[in-house]
Amino acid sequence: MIKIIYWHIKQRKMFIFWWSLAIIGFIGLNLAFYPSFKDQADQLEKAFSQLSDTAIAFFSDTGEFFSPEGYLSSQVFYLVLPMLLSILSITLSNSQFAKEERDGTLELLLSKPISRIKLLNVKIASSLSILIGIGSIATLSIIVICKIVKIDVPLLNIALASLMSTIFAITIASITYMLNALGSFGRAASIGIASAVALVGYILSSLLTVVSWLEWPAKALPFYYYRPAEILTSSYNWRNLAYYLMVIFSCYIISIFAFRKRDIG
Amino acid sequence: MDTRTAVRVVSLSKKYNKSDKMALSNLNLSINKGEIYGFLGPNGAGKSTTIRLLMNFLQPTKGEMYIDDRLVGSNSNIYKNVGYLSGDFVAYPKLTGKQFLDYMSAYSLKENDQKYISSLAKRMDIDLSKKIGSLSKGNRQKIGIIQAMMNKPDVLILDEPTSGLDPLKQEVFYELIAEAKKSGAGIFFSSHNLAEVQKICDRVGIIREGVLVHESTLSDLELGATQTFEITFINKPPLAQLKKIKGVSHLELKDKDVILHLNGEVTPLISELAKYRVLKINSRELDLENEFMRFYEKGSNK
Repeated sequence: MIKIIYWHIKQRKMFIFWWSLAIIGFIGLNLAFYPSFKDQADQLEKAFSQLSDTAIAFFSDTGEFFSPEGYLSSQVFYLVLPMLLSILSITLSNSQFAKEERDGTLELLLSKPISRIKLLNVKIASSLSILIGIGSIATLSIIVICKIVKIDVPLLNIALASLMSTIFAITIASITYMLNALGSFGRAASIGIASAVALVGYILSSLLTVVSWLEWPAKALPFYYYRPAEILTSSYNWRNLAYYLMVIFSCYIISIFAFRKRDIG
Repeated sequence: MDTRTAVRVVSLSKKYNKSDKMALSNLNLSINKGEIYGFLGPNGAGKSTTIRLLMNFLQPTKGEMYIDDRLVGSNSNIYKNVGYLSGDFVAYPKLTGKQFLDYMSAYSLKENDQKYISSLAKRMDIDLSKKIGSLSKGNRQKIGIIQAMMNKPDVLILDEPTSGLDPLKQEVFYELIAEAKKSGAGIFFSSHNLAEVQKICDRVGIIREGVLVHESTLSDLELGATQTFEITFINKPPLAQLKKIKGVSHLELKDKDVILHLNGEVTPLISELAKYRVLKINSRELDLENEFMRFYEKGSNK
């Protein structure tokens, strides 16, 4: 199994390289200007406070933009990193599964002595390895850039916020895998549904400050439990992690049962 | 001698979710080790559905299948000694032939026998260092043939395997199949090309609209096939006597020439002709195409 996972990763080395480069670039670009804002943080904060609550809510989960935690959260953790990792996870899950089913190579693999469950596990494990790998590269680059531009946030909190972004992306990947394993949706639909779960969750959670009744629908979606600012300020309720683990586990079990006995192609 | 069956299908039926019609109805067949079984039928007859069920890509609506006497669906290890190839073989375009075969070996739980693979590549005249995406359909099919045969399987399941191959390479492929048969492999071979089935198969099954309409050895099929004779008599042809010969299905008179269709043995015809002065007999070569069409015409006349 390790050999096959290694093969999967090896096949996607250029994919991994370009995604890592893109994420480092995005993070670098978003954090590089912090020194220019740092000295005028109070004035800028006042100017930004003139914005409507809705506008603020879409870009920051702290309501602050220029404190070290607020800057880091609004520029990287609240939107850019989880969305980039989610796009990566949806792209990856689809290319590993739905694309192979559409192209017919999934049948070729299943003509070999490998069970469907083992094949699914191999695909999931290789996607997971790539996501964790790129997530780790993102974590390292944030830590290094924060050191360079002197964003004064504990390194452990940065690492934990990055980890939570990766877990959020893994949750989206597990939903994509489940939709692909069910097989009745098709590739485009699984991309659409998984993207909607990520995006609608972000929109609903952002609007909560102004529309309180959205809390219940927002609570059903993964983004609600993703609160990077709380992690950066050490006030996160880690029991929220249970939600992610439950969704990932449920999607995995459904994937196994759905894929075990369905028609391929 | 290996007494196990390579493939056995028992009361197999398949209905797709989005269709009202049965794609396959109550199929029963058995293929022995060391036998080549040709599965004939036009597009949409149910050949690929049968193969996809055997490979466990599809779930049967009813019935059971066995490969090497082991129930399909019970354990993926039954495919350890199975070689599979589909007519529209697809692989990973960014990999070279060699990388692809190495990748397949990771799934096959067997180390590749590089010497054997090289010999297959040489016989098929294919360069394994080229990217699959840059190859023509025929050359991709050659890679598919190598991946199906590289582990010297005991059972070969081939769905229109020669599609895209040029005639020379088709001959090489038939040689490979004959060698596999000689080493005891059971081969299930679907095709709509009657000539190749006639050339290599021991037994044929003809499938129409999901139903196996005929199954026999090739020699039995030949025996039952209609032969055409053109007989030139010196005197007036004895039409009434010729009509009485067992197996005569059609008689046509042109002056002193008679065109006659005969099913089965020719002995009664020869015995009857011996009584008359015959100038010339022409026998048209036996053509299974007519037999094959007969089974389909029966269906279309329903």
